[in-house]
Amino acid sequence: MTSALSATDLGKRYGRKWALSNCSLDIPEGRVVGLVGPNGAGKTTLLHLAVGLLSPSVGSITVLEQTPASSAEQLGQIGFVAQDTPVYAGLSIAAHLQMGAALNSTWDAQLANRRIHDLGLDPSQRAGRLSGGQRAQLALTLAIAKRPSLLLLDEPVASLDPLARREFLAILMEVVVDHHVSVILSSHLVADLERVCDYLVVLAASRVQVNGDIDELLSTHHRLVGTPRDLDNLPDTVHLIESSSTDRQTTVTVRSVDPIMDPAWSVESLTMEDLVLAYMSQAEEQRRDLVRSKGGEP
Amino acid sequence: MIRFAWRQFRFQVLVVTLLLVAVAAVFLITGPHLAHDFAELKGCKANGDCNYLDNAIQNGSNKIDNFSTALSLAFPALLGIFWGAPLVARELESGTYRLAWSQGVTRSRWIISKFAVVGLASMIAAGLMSWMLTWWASPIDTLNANRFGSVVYDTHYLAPIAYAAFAFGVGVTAGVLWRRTLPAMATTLVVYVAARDTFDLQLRSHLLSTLKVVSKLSRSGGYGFERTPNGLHFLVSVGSLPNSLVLNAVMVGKHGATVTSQWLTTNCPKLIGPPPSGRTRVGIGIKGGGTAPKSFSQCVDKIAANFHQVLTYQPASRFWPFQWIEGSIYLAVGLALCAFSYWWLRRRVA
Amino acid sequence: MIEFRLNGNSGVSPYQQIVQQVKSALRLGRLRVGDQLPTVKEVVGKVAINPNTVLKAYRELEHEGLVAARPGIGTFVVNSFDETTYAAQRTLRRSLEVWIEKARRAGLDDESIEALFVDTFLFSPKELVR
Repeated sequence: MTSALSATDLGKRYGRKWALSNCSLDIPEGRVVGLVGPNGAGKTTLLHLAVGLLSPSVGSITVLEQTPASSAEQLGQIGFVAQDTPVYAGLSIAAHLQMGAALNSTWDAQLANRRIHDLGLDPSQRAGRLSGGQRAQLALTLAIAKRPSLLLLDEPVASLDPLARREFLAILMEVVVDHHVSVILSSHLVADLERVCDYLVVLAASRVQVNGDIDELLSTHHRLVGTPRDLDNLPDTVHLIESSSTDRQTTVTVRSVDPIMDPAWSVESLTMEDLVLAYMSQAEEQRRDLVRSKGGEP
Repeated sequence: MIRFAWRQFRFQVLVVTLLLVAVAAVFLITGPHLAHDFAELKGCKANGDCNYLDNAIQNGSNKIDNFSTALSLAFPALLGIFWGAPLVARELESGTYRLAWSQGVTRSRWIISKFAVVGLASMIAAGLMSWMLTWWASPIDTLNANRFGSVVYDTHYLAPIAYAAFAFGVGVTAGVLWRRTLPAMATTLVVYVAARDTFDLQLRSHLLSTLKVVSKLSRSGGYGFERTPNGLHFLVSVGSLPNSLVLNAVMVGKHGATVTSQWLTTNCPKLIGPPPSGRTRVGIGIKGGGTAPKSFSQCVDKIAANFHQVLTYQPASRFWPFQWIEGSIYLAVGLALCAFSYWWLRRRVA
Repeated sequence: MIEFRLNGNSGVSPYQQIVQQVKSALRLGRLRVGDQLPTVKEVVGKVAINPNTVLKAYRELEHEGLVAARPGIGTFVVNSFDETTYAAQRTLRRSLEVWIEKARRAGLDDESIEALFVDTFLFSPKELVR
């Protein structure tokens, strides 16, 4: 099974600030991967490293087992839709398709034209006049018509209204069915990703907090509710992610491969949103501890 | 990629093409008339006073000449500012580089294609403007016989092509470094003007070692005297070697003596009185052919008897070597800047 | 053709909702034996969910014997809960509960009841006696 994206100790620094650090991933192909995390967590940095717009400060990254932007062929296997779906405002839709045809040897003109037609777009219209949703569809068409093996999308629906958002994701799923592409899409909203993704990467505080198949993650993470107690007594195989206590009960989110047998806990399953929030608050807690230990204010 | 680079560039090419066509139209309409007048003038000069024809030519063409000269002088800079600076800066600023650099062309090919298309187009446009102006203005240039020492050098023949290459290099580099269009355009203007000025004033005259010619004071030139707080001075304007680049004209006497304030005070006592109230300097000057007060002519005669005029200059025969040398320097710098931008864009990625 | 509606807040996973909606449609007669279920592409095109979710749901329905996938053609309903079958099942279940209670009152333990039932079932005629 080839990997869609593989990173080893990947890091990117701007001046003294690390936008991404210690990132190690091995994402198999054939998945729809959700890259989720708060703004500034490094999602765009990771995607730009994957496309070859940036080069790593430390570590390495391969995409479809090749170095990003290493050749025209490699670039032809990747479709990228950047944040806010940039297009050439002064060029018409048709001119954009011509660009795609001229710059990509694997361009499928029939597919491109059919998609534009099915979307009800006028090819002679200038891209600057399109609505946000239409621009996103144009950008997606440009990415898909080169018949890539991997699609990378940076917050593609963040600025779309709910209807356009639903339509975009639906069309994206149709593309997955038709063309068997692997997809990595980022968002800071879990709700966008929950229904379409089957693999999850949580980025927070510029690091990968957790990653894996969603089914597997949901089956190995639990919420435990019980009477207030000392949390140091949890068995070694149970990893604490997040905890909160009132005087009447303690609630913890844990990762554990083995089932929780301790009758003192009542075990609940988590939604993907719960899981993501638990890891994000863990990251936030760690960040605050780090700042405090340096003597600063969080 | 070349075709797409051209496609992106289409509107800007259209604007400049229209400009060139408009200039061409004006030149085509007025050119033959000018040439005809000049032919008449040539025939007349053999016979005597041709002032009226002379004036007719100058007056008829003056406005167009001034305007087209100004335009030609500015043209390479405008190309650098409007074609060169936004070339990469616009893509970086608007974020479309993220679309462009994820297409199936390597960064290298993208950069080289865009640079080649727009850079060459700049040189061609500047070349066309220069060619048209050179053709149209040739009667005037022949009349003035000062192509080496005037803006004719900067706006005719080969120099503008090299200036355009240089301006393009400056523009592109500014765009790549600023990553924003407006600052890049402003920087291009400032750097281009400063570079051209510096080169013009300091470097051009020294591209090849200068020559000197020694002669008697040329009465056909312009000269005069000035009293300043520092004393009396004799001023002689750089003279009249046709189509040469004259750098300096000094009066030198025995043992290297010059026309000092003391010498003037001693030898030309009645020359200039004190300045009127409210002014620190007063002067008296004559251009060749005018009538002069006696004290003035006497002083000048004395100077002519005791001093030689030494002209430092570059001869007319060096006009073309200079165009080639200066052109090569500007072209080389332009290319170097493009190479730097290429390297910068490839390494220091977005 | 059945159309799926997914409720993100219901706490029921998407694939289970699909399974339930197919079964519900079968019960209500909106889906009959021989009808084709929407293709995976059609489903994800209307409801933006991962194609594997749909595949998983269809596989479960296939596992339960309700649908069958014909490669290259589509997924079709092969079995149904129509109302009459369901009503008959309810009645039968009631009868069975009554019989079990009788057996218990007669003093049989669980294993004996099960053995009696299985034995009778295995030796019963395989087809309806007319």
